[in-house]
Amino acid sequence: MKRNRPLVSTGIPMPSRHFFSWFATLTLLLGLCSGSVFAQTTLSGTITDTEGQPLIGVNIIEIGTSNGAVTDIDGLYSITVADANSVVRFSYTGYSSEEITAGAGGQVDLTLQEGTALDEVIVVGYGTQKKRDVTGAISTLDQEKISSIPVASGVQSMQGQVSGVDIQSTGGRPGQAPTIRIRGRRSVSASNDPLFVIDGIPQTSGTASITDINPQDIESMEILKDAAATAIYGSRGANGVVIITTKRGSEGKTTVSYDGYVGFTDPIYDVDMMNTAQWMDLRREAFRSGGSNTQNPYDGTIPGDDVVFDVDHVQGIDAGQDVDWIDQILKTGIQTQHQLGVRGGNEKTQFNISVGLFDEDGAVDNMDYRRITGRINLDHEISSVFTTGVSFLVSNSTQNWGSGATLSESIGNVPVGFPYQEDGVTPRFLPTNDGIRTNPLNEVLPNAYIDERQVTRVFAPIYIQAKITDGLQFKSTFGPDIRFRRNGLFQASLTNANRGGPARARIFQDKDVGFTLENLLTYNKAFGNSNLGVTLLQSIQQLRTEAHSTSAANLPYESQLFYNLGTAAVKGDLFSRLEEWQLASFMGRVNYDIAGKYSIQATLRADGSSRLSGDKWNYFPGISVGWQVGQDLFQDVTWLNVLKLRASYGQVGNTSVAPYQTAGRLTRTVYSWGGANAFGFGLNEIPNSELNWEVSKTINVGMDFDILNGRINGSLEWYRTNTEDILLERRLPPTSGYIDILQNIGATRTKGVELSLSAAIVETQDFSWTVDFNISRYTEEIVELALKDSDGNSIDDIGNRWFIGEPLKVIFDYENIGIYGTSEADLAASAENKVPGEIKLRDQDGDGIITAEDRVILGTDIPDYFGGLTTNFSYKGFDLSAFFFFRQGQSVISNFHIGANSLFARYNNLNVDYWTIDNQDAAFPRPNQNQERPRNNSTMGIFDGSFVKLRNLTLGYNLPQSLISNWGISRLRLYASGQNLWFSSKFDVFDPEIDVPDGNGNFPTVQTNTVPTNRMVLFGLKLDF
Amino acid sequence: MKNKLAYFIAFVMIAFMTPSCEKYLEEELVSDVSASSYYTTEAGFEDAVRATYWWMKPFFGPERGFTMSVFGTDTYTQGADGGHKTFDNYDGGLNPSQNFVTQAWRDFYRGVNQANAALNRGAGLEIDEALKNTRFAEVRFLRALYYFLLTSHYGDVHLTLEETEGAEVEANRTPIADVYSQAIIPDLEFAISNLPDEQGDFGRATKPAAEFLLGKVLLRRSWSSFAEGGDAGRSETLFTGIIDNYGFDLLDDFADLWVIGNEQHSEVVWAIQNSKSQVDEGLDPQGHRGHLYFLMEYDVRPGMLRDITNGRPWKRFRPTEFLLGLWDRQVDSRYDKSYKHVWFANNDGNIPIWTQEEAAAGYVDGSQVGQPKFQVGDTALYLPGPQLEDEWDEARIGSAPYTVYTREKDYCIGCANELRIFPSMNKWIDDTRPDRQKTQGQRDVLYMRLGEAYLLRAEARLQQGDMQGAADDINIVRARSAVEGQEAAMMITPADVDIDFLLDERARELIGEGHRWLDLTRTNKLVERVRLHNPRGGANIMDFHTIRPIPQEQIDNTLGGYPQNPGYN
Repeated sequence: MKRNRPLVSTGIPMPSRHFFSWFATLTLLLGLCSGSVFAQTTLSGTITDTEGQPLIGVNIIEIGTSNGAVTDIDGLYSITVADANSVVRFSYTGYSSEEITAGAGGQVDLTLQEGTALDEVIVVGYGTQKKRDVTGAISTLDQEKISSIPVASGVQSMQGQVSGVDIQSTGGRPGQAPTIRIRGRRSVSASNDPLFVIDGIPQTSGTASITDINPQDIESMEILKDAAATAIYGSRGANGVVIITTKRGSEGKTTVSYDGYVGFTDPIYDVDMMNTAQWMDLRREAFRSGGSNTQNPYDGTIPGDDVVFDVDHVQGIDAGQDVDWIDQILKTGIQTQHQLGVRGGNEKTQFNISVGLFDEDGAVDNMDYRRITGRINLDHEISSVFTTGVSFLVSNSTQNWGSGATLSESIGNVPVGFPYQEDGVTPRFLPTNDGIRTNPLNEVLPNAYIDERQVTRVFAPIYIQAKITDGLQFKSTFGPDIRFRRNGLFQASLTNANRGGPARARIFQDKDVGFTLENLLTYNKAFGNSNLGVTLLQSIQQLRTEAHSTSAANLPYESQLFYNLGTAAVKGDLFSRLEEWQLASFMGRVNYDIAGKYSIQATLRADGSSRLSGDKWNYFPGISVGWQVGQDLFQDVTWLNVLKLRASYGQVGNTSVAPYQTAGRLTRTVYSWGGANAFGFGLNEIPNSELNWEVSKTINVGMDFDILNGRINGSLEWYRTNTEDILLERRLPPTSGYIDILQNIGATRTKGVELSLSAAIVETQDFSWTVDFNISRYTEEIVELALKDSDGNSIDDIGNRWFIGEPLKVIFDYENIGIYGTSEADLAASAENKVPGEIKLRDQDGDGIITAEDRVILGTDIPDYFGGLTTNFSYKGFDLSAFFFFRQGQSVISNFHIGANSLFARYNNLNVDYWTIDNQDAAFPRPNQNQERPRNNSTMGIFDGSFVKLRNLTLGYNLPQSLISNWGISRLRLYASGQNLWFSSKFDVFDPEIDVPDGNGNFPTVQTNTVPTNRMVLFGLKLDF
Repeated sequence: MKNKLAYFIAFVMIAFMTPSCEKYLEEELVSDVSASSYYTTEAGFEDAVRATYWWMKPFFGPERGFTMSVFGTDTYTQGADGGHKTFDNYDGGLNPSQNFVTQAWRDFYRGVNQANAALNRGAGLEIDEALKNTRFAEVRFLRALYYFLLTSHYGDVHLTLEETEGAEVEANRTPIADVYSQAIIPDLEFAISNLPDEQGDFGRATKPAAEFLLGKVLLRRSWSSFAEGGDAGRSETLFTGIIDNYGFDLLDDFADLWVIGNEQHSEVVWAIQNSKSQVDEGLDPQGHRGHLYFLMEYDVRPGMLRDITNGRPWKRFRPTEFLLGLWDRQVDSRYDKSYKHVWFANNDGNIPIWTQEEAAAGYVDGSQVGQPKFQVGDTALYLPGPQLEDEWDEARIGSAPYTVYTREKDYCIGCANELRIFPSMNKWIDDTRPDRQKTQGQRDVLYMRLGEAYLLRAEARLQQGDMQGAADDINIVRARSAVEGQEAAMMITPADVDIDFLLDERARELIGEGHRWLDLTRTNKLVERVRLHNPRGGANIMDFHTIRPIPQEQIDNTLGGYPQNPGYN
């Protein structure tokens, strides 16, 4: 994809602007600006390449119109545009496109730069580089792509767009952050979240830090994937780095822009629970009695309905009840976003101000999300030496988490229950006599269940920059980051949580106060055709978290919610907590490139972390080289425009462990003497004075290419990461008196390949068709573990489900091979102490009985491959784009097939084909009222989670300039977009795109209370004045 | 230009003025304490001792301890609700992955390690020697209790008397006889020598508590394959000491044992402590939850709704027919003082009315048709229970304004309400809970009471062939609960005494008090009695079921594995 930078009308993005002058890469572009001479509304001139040769057939289009022109054999063109605000784009295959605003018109000569995408300047952390010179594995997502899919968070906009970056939704609850894994995960116990760096400041609150940012404010996101690129972030680079740069002001005319959409969401939910007739059959079978086995009377007889059904069931059946509880709960949601921005400035001061509102009402009542953001980005030149500026963000979000019981009770309630009392309006708290099953409609009554999570954040990095001498620059950034979280919980009497008991409430608050101070010295110097760049950094960062919580029960009146806990008759637990950590760092980097053909970069970072007990300091080196092979060896190959090879090696660390984990903290224990408190302090953690860095070492080899004059470009990467001393929260035998210990034991290896391709298939004046494709694959294996045999070789750790040569998370269970039939009664008894109608397990070792030895690895959560395909068509003012996201080969665990499939007919059941003596080929065991769940029911829930999704389909129209200029508008775009309109998966009950936040080693599980993902259709407009 | 340079230099100096690195990176624990710094103080040592008591709570009081002592016996079987029925069924679900099997093992070992740590850390502590010995004796008493429970449930187990330091991945399997001789008995002997007769803090281990436990330990060993001569005799002596030396007295009225708030009476030898404020405030997530499990489903019946007084009926445990036949209610008041018969109407919206059919059947005068059968506060449900229900024929039941539940009609095996209606044991009812849903009750778990000491001494005497002595002890317990005027009828003779009679007597006296499964395994009667009297488990129980499976978690996490108990896989 070409990256189009409007040069005059909206200016160069600010961070780049700072660095351009020192990187000596902008000379050309600056020259280009000064070359623009304003006249009337007609522009004409000559287009040449860098050697001064005229370019023939350059496409010239007035953006938003079908008005265009082409250069002639001498590179001459002429185009008449609507007015001074019109933007004209010059594009030529194999060269970078340029856009200029017509202004006064007249003579505009342009030099187009060869090499397209490679000449973009990208942010690499503590500076910028031309893509041409980049030697590490770095992907970029520009503003156009970020804003192309309306999402709540910038993380979601990366999904499927960047090779090697695996974004997985954690459900459809409004405001819920997805998980992000860059090149897989390395660790089991430490966090696998990447480091986010926003406007130069490494973030302390993980993925949450990006959810406070309005994606419309993001200018670009750069994803640093290999260790050579991330080594400059040292101890925090192990999981990759995402650098987010927000939009800055620009010199020139002030633009006011509005962006907004309204979308209608519809939950994707194909869970088929039983209806009344199906459930009645299930219950009859479950109540079979007599026969050869009292516990599981598979060959008994079905008693009369008077025995099978309770009085309340009979009432429901007689009344013809057939309630689809899920249908009662799920509804159409609404998502809206509005963003208003003002951008402008003069040569001394530039600003970008914006306010944004994101509001989503979910598919379930009481689940919603609203975020208000305000931003001021300001840059001011104090003198010829000093520049200062700020990126000020204030954000407030409120997420109503809702009651988890809403969905689980919709699934659990039997279809013969009564949703409403006789008035037909008031929900009946217990739809049947079963005291466990409460009415999901009670959960969504106003002020019945409130779990309100508010985050208020102020993040304001301020910098001052000094140009000391030519090429030598100093920048100091101070980044205070303050985050308040407040979680108010209120449960009314008639909710599942309270079951008619008096209302209770809790309020939890915490406050993060962090700051970062970074001092950066950079030096850039050209020596002939070589360039040297040196970067030195000194940095400290610290975070202090204070939390407290108060809870109370037996509230005297419910309308107080959680706002008057003091009046409660019963006070609850209170706690408060303090957590602090510090990080101190030094970093140096040297870049050197010769003749634009050979480049090398070396970095070294030293980090000291308070969270470790062993060596608090460690050093993280990285080295990378790049070679423009095409320019060097294949200059004569006309179809090969660029061929670049890259290689890198680097080490990075991971200290993402919570503070104080090494101390062996005691936990308060509760006891009493004759009713008087006798609190104690008990052992809970094994102190580990040896806790040390987890270090990842990555080799990366990459190739960038551009062929057929830029019609096809892309890159290919191969990498291998060895992670040593991994931080393992390792389960111990219970006889130790402890549950687990956090240790640095073990090693993993991740290997992967990534390919991204962009192709301009058709490029004419009126019509273009482009395709972007990326695909990634990686394998993960454990190579070393704590447990060793007598020869010192690592052996499998079955208790922790870690196996040498296998990924970190596997499904380790018995293999379900169907259901025992009546002809296998003897085998069922001898092998598993079971009877026909129960789950049959594979006797892996063939010893005739099922023992723990028969458990095997049945799947992993690592996909075989994943990626995305984007295709864009544009015709005159219209554009149509489609984005497919795919992930293939990973397993998921479906709790619908385990928890909602208990087959004991007390609750409603997933509509499955179950075994009866007359239906022996069924996939699921016989319903049985004498069980809470079938034996080995965990084996029923393992599925292939592969899927392909049409993540986005957008149709847009840019109104012609000739029309809108009459209204004083410089740009007006209308669009309609559909998200998740289609998906295909072998697992068809629920959207299988699911992940669980890490830290507990749980396998990704589709939970029955996960809020379903949405299908959304939205309509939006973008407006610039 | 000069000016600017100075400006710049000043700026750089400020920017680089950061605290010294080593100090900057120090981690300071403020909101928490660690064992290494805290257990070495007197206050910390006291807290380590108190923490050793804590590990009893996940077992005694919640469902885990009840399930593992009530289910799978001759006296109780499953009701409608709840998991863990596998303990009653003795089916394939009672396997190494079963939750309670896993959690009980884990938490007993956490208790053992906490005890080992208190002893280890306290050893070098310079405090008053007498106080230290008392605390050490408490801790060793608790360690003995944890090992006694471990061996009683799991057989041969891992034995360690050292605090775990670092990642311990090995585990031994010490024969049960050695766990007795190396840990349980010496710990209790130490406790007996060092504990006071009474403690200022009610609930701390005392000398009689340690004697009681040792008596029980020796009695258990006397029945075992590794019995030593004199076990029963020594046990008898210990119980005699408890009965004679400390001023314990049987309460006059058996019913007074279950009066809530009356937890420090003269019959208490030792109880696991709960506190009302701790359970109500949610500080104690465990509490006494016995009030939940033994109740029938009264709350959806005519005229009733769930309330605090009547309890939250989880209908887990249902008495066996055998149990209900054990009391002669004409002479023995204990059934009536352990079970509930009458529920008073509390739900105005659900009061039944007399119907035309009932009038036609002659149950009520025709003028009453359409009138409510009773008012709030009147009897709504009546469960006459064993013996008395014979008087309730169809006509009498039909004519009663309240609902009458009988075995024949409601809770026989195969009856429609078999699992939901049954005599409800009300020993643990807790009407002081702040709301009807609250699961944590405030009662102490009365683990050792004088009444049981008599029965245990009777068992020790029985083991030695002293039938007269055994009968005397049993009669002391029985005499208290005789129906007025039936004192003589309650008396038994030495000829009546055998282990079966004694086990029946223990059921009559101690039902629901958390001893039954261990009583049956101690006396080697489990398999026989379950087969005879438990309609569910009887069909499945095998000899190996007298101990529990070793948790798979232990086997999987131990370097080199850990042996499973026979019969389980």
